[in-house]
Amino acid sequence: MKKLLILFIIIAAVGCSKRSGLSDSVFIPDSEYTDLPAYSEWGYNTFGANYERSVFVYSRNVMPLKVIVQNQELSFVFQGVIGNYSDDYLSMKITIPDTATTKYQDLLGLNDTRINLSGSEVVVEFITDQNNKVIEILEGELYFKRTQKIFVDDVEAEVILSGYFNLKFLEDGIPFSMTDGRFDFGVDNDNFYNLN
Amino acid sequence: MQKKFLILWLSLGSLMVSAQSEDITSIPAKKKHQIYLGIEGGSRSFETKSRDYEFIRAEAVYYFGYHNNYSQLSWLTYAPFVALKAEYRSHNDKFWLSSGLRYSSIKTIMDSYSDYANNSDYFYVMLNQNQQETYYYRINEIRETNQYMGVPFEIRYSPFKPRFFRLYFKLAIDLNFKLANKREIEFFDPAMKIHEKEIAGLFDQPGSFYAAGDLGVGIQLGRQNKPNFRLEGDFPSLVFTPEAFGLADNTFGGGVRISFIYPLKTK
Repeated sequence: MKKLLILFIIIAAVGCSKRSGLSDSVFIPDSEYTDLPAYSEWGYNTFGANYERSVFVYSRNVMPLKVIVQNQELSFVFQGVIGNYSDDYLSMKITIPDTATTKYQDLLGLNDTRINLSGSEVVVEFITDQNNKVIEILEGELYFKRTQKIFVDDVEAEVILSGYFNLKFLEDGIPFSMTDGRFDFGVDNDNFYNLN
Repeated sequence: MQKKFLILWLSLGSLMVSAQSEDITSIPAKKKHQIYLGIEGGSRSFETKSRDYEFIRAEAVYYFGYHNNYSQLSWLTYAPFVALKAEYRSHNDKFWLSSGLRYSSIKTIMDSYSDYANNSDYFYVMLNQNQQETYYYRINEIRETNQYMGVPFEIRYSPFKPRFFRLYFKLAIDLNFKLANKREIEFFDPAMKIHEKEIAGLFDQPGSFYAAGDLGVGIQLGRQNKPNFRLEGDFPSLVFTPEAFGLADNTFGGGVRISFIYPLKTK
């Protein structure tokens, strides 16, 4: 009752909420790391990881994932911020060799796939305002635990990629770690780009 | 919270008692047993508590740009009823005991907060999935109506001598047995009506019985041994079996009722 009252007051006073849909990000806090989204497989368009003593998480203001196919390579660009609700934007681009992916539906083939980020054919880049820096990975993994095709009202809508990631890397000779990473993305023609 | 309601209720009652005790034109009580028959109608409304349905997709709700964890679902529950009752009055006409048969229907409506929060008009329900395919359906509204036949047991007490206008207090319980249940789903895409039965079956089914109790205060208009009219408020109405309903839990609420009673037998 009290919650409903508070909610009504907030709505009446502010009235600045946003349309919801599959493309929005839905934050369900993790029970242990409350600044991170809980692991989910609903296509909530979120990701997050502990980054040193802060977090690298999705931002509501940018598309949390872009998938790019170009020159027989497949790139996943995690776009977010360092620290919740900050404007310290960071994109992490993970590129792997790939010849099979031409459309977003092909991403279903990644189901239960582990990618060793320290492998010689994998490139990890950090992109900030004007900088594009290739990161030297000490160890790390991108794990697509589950991929699924979503139908809404019996019409195909998107592919959901859900899984985990973590990495240790060197930046300017100093080691950093990104741990407990988890992601849950919906991918459709809006964030899938075949540049071939 | 219930304690606050009790204090509020008692305070209101005290005020009304004080107001009426100033009436010095009261008529002496006629010491007669009397049986009345009555018809009653009214409605109660309940606070509805949502359940954690794992097949409902959460929605994004933002305020000041921050995430908000409140549910996007809106609930409304109300229960209109009609009753036929017999009432027995004590010698001094201060205690009125009544029981009878009551037909009621509890209507629960579940939808999105779209009217207030400018969110979408629908919410997603996951009907089924396998390893690589998942099926969502957009739902505008789910309406459930449970019909009950019940037996109320009520005691009313008026501390005042018989007169045309009498204030009284009520303590009541009612036992209700389900007659029928109907669940309707309004889809965002009307063509998805073909899935109504499957999706309706995802939600919990109502039990066959529920019990509730009321505290109330009312006024009666009419002379002793004559037809009387009553207007009564119930607050709080407490549901003793909150999980007995299908879509959600009903916990407590309030209501209003009017009744017309007719003296049947005078000794």
